[in-house]
Amino acid sequence: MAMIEIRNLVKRYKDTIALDHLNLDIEEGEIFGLLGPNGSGKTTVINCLLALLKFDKGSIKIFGEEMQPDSYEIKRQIGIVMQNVAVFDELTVSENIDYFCGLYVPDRAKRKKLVEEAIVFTGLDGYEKKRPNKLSGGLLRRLNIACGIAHKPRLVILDEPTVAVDPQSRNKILEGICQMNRQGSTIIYTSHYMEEVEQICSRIAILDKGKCLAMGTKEELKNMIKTGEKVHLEGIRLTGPQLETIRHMPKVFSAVYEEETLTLRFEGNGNHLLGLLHYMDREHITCGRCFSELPTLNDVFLEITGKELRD
Amino acid sequence: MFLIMKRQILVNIREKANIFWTMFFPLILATLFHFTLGGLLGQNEMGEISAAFVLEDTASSAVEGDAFFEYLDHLDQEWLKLTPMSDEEARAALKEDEILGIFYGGRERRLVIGENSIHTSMLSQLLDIYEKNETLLNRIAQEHPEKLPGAAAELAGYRASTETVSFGGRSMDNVQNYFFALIAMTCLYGSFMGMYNTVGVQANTSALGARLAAGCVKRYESITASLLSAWIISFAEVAVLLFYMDVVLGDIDLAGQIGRILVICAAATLYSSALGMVIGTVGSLSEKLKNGLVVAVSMTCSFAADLMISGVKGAIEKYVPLINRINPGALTTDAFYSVLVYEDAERYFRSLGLLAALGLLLLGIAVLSMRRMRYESI
Repeated sequence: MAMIEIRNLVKRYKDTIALDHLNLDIEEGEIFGLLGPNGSGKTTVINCLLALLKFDKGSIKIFGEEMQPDSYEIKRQIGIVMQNVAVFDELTVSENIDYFCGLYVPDRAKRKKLVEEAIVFTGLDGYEKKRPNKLSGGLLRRLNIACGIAHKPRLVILDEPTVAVDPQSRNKILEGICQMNRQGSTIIYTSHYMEEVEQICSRIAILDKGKCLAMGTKEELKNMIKTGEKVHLEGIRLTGPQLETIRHMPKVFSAVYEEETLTLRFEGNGNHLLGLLHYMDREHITCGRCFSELPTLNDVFLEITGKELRD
Repeated sequence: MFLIMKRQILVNIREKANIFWTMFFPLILATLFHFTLGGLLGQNEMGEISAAFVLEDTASSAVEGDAFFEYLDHLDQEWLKLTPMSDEEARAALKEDEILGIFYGGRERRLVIGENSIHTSMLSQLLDIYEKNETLLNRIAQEHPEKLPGAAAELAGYRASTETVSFGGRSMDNVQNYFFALIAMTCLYGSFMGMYNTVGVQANTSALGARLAAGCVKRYESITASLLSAWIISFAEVAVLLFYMDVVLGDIDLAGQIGRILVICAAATLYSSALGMVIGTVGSLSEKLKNGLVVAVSMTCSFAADLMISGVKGAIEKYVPLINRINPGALTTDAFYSVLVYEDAERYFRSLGLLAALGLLLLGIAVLSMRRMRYESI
């Protein structure tokens, strides 16, 4: 049985359908990514999961039990990191973590240890006595995370935790999430940054307009689309027959030749650059620069929806 | 719940703008009131009036037995301090402002005063009344001698129809009302705390509220903690103001009445905290808008309680008394007045009862509005 079961979830805001018969199963121990552009319904799913939002139809089960607003025992095992930083400006870093941890762990001695661990875990050591308004954006995000995970929950929900964060802090946050997962927490991670989702998530659901367009591991998702590797060759001079030969090479999905630049898209998995370079060597064709790109989740999203993920 | 309350109090105390407006601003106003209105305090107070009695043109120098002296000495008034003196002593005392007037008795009665004031007018009235009564009795003696004993008894019996009213409090000064209105305003500022704390526990009004609502804190615990923390802080702030006005500035005198005053402040801050909570639950308006609402409500109530202009409360009492029965500012100043100025237990308990009842009613409304745990939108 899945740790989280979402069945036929429908949420409407007046005339707008925010979630359209959404079905999701999230297994214990995985890092599950909810990927989608802004407004796709990621945060709405999270708010419904936490029983903060009323929904029109469907059901949500967590740990095998129906999630209700007063399901305090379920909530006790969940850690939440909101999209907006939710900490007290008037409390120091350690007081903030202690406060939120205290909502779950009443024992003071146990809490003290957990707070110290959360500070080390999020790299906030040295900032314990600082107020949030003295922290950089990245440190503030880390504090936001520390407040959500200090009580070592079984399930951690992170709603776009890296928005407006510098690369260094982002890497630190992503490493921390993987570490939490290794320590036994199941993670739900929402983001519109496909690289992050691709980097850390074991399974991914792509959302758009409240619908789940595709779900699976990143490999499974990439296999769902027709196009695979993309090869760019710049400063290349081709004759008509040579271009035709390239177009008819195995797995070539499309070939565009403009202003001495050739862009090739291949079907399915695998690298095709080497074969292409062998052909060019035989034909004494030279080029100024060449590079190859494997398909990304953006390509998956592009092919499924016809638009870029970051539109 | 204790942890939430403790942290909420710490947060409220550290919120500088909040503490400035709810605690330091009233203290600053109290200081300004002290220097501007403090000078007026006591001007209208009815103190003791000292006067000398000089017996003229009689063979005896003993004042006892002189009818006019006996009349003055046996007046049913505690405010007249009459001292028999020689003419020289009396004039010297008047010159030194030790007395306000000199009554001359004997064959001819007259009054000499130093300056015209309400107090010397009162001395003058005493002489006038005596002269009129003497003339009246002389006429009765001449025209209806048989009625003289009855008339004399009637005049002497005026005390029977004079009701003695205890002011109980320490001041009869209307200027005190400004200080009471200031205390009422500070009580009303408890609504800021109520509003802030309410916004902080609702998922649809703040990210912090959403985090708390998503956590495992029971709803009633977070609501109770936010009310109690708001109430405790606003009550403490009013207590600081009372201490400052009583002990440091000396503009009010709470000695012996501190218990009743604290009870009324507790009820007023409960009312205000609950009022703030109700405003805090109004839809999903921004905190700034709700803050504006609290300012508007608290200042309107203070205005209607005579904080800015004297006489507003009286006018409301005359035309729409219901407003004074629900305005926490008016109820608080009424209770203060009935303890510290005009002893009126009925009015005190009416104000106290209304503050407590309306506070509980508002609290009920706030709890009903906040009981929702799921929202249509966040």
